[in-house]
Amino acid sequence: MAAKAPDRRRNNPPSHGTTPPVFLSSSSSGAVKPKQSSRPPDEIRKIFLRTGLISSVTGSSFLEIAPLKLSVSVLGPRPLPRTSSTPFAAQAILTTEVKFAPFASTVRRGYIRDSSERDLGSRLYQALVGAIRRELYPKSRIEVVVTILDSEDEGDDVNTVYIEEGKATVETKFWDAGRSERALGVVLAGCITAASAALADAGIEMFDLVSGGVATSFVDEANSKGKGKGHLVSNKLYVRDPAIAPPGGKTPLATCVLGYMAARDEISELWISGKVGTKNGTTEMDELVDEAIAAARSARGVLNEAAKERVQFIVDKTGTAPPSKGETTDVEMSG
Amino acid sequence: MPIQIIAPAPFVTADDEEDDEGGVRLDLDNDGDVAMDGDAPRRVTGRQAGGIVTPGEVVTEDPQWMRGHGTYLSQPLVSGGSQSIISSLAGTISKTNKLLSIRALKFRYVPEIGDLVVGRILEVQTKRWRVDIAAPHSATLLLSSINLPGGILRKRTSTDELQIRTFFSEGDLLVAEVQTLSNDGLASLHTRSLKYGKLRNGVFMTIDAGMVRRMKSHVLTMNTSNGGGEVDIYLGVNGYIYIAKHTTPLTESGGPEGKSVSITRLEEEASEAIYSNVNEEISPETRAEIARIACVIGALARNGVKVDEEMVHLGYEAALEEFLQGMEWGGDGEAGKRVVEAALAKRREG
Repeated sequence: MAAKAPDRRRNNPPSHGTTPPVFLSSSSSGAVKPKQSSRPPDEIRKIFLRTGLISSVTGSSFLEIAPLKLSVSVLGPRPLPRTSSTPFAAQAILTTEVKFAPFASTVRRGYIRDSSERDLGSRLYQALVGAIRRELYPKSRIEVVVTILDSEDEGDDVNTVYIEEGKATVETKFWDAGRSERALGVVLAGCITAASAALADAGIEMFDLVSGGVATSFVDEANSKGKGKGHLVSNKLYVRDPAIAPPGGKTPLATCVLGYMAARDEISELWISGKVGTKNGTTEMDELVDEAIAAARSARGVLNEAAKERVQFIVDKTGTAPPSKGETTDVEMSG
Repeated sequence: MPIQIIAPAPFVTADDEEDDEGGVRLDLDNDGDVAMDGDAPRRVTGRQAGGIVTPGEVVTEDPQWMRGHGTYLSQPLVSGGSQSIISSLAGTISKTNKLLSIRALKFRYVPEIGDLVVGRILEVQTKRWRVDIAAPHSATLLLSSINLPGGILRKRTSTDELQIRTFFSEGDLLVAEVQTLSNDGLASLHTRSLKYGKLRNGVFMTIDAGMVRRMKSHVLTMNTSNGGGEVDIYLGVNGYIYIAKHTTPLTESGGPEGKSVSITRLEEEASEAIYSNVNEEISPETRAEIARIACVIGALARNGVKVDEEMVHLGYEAALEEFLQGMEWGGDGEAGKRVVEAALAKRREG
């Protein structure tokens, strides 16, 4: 995490964060070692996605994927401020903002956006900007604000405290390298999926919904220690929607995050970090991207249902379709 | 709203062959399951009206339909086949003759010429006001588009420009008509009729745009019970509503004493009083009935019933029968629902 600018407007907590008290006697409770995932590598975690939770904004959504919790607000389209510095905009101007709540990770975050948050914001912008029909909203702006309420710890510099049988141990795992990418990737994918749902809830016209997908390639731990390119040709394990802890005996190689428009088969945002090589003419990057697309397709199913669900809820509740004007059956032409 | 956790849809392998659209088809089965399958049977006739679609979903591939709001055409196919109509909103399908459009759950008011709107002044500029009418862009009201005190035929002078705040200042509510639209959808309003102008003596409320049914007249005058007297309801097409104590309109048809106001006498009638910011004396009975009507309109909109003259009257009658005394059901969703159901039953009876 980048060094934070001192925030003089608020009463700041200790910069190094605070640790909850560890009671050694209560061996069964407390933090437990991240358990090895029992789901198959080609299955993503269960997603909870709901729209329309914040009534004061145009559109909103809330997403939960295991530890990750985030809420998205969409404001607008609303007029651009009338200042001389504002250029004429024939298309709507999209702004995206991603902010971790101060309590979202083990290390306390500042109130001012840091570089990783700005980075996530620009990636989210890239993922969404092509999907929105911006030409329909001239001289307007659309704001997407994401607040991450809880996330897997993405800091490289954090030692993990485990409590086992009454004994606290501090471990720095070999896989701590690269976990930042995995954790941020899951966050970004969640942001993209939830933001699409919020845009649909806001009634903003889009070419397609964008869903986010993450995949990580793993290799056997033994292979990774060897010098040279040996590990690049050995069998890979691709895990969709990876958890922080890698599968046993595996070490991560590369992580791919993307924003994917399933109905158009288009990728709107691609972010790959790590090592990728070539094998038998097909690049591992293609395989990794395909895995991430598959993860995004699975998330798309949830996204579609979430977008429909609210319309269905209103239709069921009122027994009528949403209001509209200009429909033949509705216009009263008396007099 | 019941809470349920949606399990991710089962993974289906991408099938890129035999797909001349260059993408997957998202298809909705009858039981509502999402199938992401490249081999889904081609649907030619289009979906049922009222069916729910999401952005990116193919509405129909049949070329006989015209695309309306909330849809777009897919990219031209290499094979030269007809382009499909794709939804760009999450909402229900509506069919008007051969026009397919998607109605979103929420949408902003889009001004059209001739709409009666209720608005609030946002900003005062040199020769115009900016008015919030719940549209994506605020509307403008030119100084030359209002009735100036002293008569409809008077010419605007620089003195009026200097006194612009005496007509409307920030936060004032007004009822106006959409006069013109610029080519990017910005509305310009006018109040050059004695039906329009500043609003006072009442209460302002908002409902969703589109919950107001378009009618012949959007200004209703109701006779209320319990000694409330007459109450005016301004049903803005933009979802902004103002309910006020009835004041005798200075129209050509009826003056204060029932005699008509001739065009030559307008200058006396349209005096400074039309821009007054001071409420008249409003009796507690009238206040109670204004509040009751506001509750009825709110309940109608919340329960998905479009607000029009008939429904306001029926809803008001139902509210009187249900609760003769007191306004305590204002925030009560259940009571509101009962009132709306009673009103709908009355309408069925005719």
